Amino acid sequence: MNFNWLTDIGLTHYLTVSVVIFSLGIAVILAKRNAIAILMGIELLLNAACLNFVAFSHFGNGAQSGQVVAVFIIVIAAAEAAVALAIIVCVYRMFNLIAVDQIAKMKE
Amino acid sequence: MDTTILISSIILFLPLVAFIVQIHIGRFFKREGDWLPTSAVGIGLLLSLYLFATMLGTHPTEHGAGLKPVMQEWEWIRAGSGLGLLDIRFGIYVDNLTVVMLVVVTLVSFLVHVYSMGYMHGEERYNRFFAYLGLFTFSMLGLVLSSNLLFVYIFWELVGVCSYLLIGFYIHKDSAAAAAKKAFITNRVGDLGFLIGILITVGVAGSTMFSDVFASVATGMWDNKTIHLTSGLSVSLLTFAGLLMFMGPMGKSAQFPLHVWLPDAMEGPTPVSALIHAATMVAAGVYLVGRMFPFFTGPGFFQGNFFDSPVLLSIALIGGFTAIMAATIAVAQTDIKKVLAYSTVSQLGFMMIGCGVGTFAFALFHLFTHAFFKACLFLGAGSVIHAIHSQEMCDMGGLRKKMPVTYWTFLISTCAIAGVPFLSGFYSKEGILTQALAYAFYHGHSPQWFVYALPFIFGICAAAFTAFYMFRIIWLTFHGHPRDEHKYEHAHESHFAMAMPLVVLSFLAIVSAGILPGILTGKAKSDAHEAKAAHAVSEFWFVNYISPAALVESMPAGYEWVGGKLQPRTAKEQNFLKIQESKAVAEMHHCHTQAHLPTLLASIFVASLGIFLSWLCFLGPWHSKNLVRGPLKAYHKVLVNLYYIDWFYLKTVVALTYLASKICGWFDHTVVDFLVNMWGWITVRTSDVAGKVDYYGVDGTVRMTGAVTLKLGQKSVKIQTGRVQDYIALSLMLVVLVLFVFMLLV
Repeated sequence: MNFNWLTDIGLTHYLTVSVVIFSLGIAVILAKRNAIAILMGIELLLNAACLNFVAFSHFGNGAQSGQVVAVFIIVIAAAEAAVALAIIVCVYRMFNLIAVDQIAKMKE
Repeated sequence: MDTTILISSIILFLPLVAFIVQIHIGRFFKREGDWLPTSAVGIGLLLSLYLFATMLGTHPTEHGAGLKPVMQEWEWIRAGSGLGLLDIRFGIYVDNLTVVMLVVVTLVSFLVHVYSMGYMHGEERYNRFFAYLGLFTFSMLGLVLSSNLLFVYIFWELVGVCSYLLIGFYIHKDSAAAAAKKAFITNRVGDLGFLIGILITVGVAGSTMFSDVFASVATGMWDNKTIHLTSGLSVSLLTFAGLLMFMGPMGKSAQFPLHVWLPDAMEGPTPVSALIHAATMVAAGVYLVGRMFPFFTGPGFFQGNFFDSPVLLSIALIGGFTAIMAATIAVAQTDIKKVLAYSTVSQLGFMMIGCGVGTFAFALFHLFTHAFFKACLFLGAGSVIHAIHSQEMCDMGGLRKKMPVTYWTFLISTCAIAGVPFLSGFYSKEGILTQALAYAFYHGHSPQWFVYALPFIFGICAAAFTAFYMFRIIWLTFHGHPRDEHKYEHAHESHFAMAMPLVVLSFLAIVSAGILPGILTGKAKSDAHEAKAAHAVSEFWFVNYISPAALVESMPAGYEWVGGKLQPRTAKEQNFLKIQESKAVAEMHHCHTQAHLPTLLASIFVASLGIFLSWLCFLGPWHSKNLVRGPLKAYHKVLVNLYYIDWFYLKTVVALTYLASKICGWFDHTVVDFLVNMWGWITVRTSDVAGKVDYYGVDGTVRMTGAVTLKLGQKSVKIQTGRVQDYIALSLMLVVLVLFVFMLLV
């Protein structure tokens, strides 16, 4: 039985981890009712993407552009978190709750 | 425009204007506007009398005396060109005959208007009655003033319509409605023949103008034209057209066998009866025969021979038969108006005898005198009816003490119609009978001499009966003892509006032939002497003005219509239109001289005999003997049933019409209605199918589109939850889907 795939860490492994993280993120976003938890899910998505970029960059043609994008993503994630939290605060002020399933104002 | 034409136009159109105003807004006027038609006709009367005076005042010439005829025509229809030119003009034509008729019509009409003010007082639709009288007068005036046959026909029909309106004036009475219909339909039969006659005349002469028609007869346009009725039987077209055209007068002037409407026309108000019987309706037929006399006579007329025409013989025989038939029926009638009605039929028969035997001048003179005494008789009868509210003579009797004015005027008129010497009716009737006897003498050596003698025999017998039944009215109504005491007590003399016309008319019944002519003939003779034309002046005043010569000479036949102007005809053409002296005229003159004295004596004898027998039967010694139950029972029954003529019509014409109507009704009901119903059924079915297609097909598609859209909307609105997570899940699914599709494609 060949267990090389366990020892020889390659691009597939990274991508697999990334897919798992991304899927977890999606699941969190769809399943969680708390807005802050959803925000966390979004962070997971960003991180999965980030991991992809880095992995492709590492196993790619040697160019370091992927690394750079990863840095950008981290920055954007931070900014996004700030903005999202601010929105959540506003939402809380308005509705006195942050359970997104109970807020259906967009329907109107 | 000529003054005479202008005056005639005013006479003609005043009653029309009065009618139009009266029928529309008459009821708003004071006294419901009765003064309006009355004054219109009154002015017409004054103008007619002016024309009459002018006519009498002219100097006689070799062609007779009177007005120079005038004619004015206005274009009415002009179409086509060349031989196919249709040129119909409305024209007014005035000659002596017209003037005499104008006087008769306006005078009687005016008096009837005045009388109606009293008689119809308080009746329903009083204003309408006067409007109809006005229209009636207008129609009759138009008839006598028209210059061509077509307009005569138009006014002829208008007269028929007016008689319909007035006979059926009491619209709530079924009998009046039936009588009006009977009058109209019976007249229609005659009018059909008249119309065909006119059409034949137009076909041959190319014109309906009197002078052109006469010219066509004179210039031989009718020669060698025959019509084949059946194989072997053919008559000349002129005779055929003449007989057809005579059907018109037969209907209007109530000649056998179309006389049945006139007695029924008594259903109308009494003034209308007077108007119809004296001046307007029945006079139209006699007028037309007089006016068209040269046409009925044929080419012989222009040789002065009025005695050989088959058409005229037919007219004389029909007239004679009508005279004796109606006179005998009148004897058995008990309704005072019915007696007078049959008396009119009988007198019209006399006029037709006159026309037929060649003396249309005396026929028209009889019309002239008859108008006065018959109007007086009718108005007198109306006065009696008004007083005792019954038309049956069995309710009357002894009224002379209660109603002296009515009695005396009625008596004078009765004497006039019975032929008592020196009253107007005597002269006119005697003139006709003399000519009838002369006619019989003239044809004395013909193998069928008896046929030619019939008009005189009929006439003289009818004269006897006339005296008999007219005095029967006098005895039964005004003499003897009252048969109904109650009604007698309430009888009273009529007031002024009704009495005045009676007096005027009875005065005219005396003077119109006896005294007036004495003066006029004297004057005419002295005038003629001055004009060195004494030979042309007849002993009798009326004949000076109305004579065959005058009829043709006076026609503007010397002119024809060329390029919108009257142009003289050539001398050769004009020559045809002069009556030449001939052997026939001389022979007839001889016969006439022979016939004069016997007729005079016979007339006086039969009149006295009639009056005497009448006195004997109804007032004198035979009064108590009930003749009608005894020896004369069978004949009386025939008379009461009007010789079964009405019965015969009822059983044949009317029954056949009903039968035909029933067959048509059956056909209509079963065949036509079936087809219509079937067609309806098919349409309904088709519509049903079309409706279903429309409902389910077209509407279904439209509604389905709506429903689908609605459903889709209802479904898709559920996506719009408002919850962020749903949106995210949806977008994700779509991304996955897009990627999946993309992968498949790549």
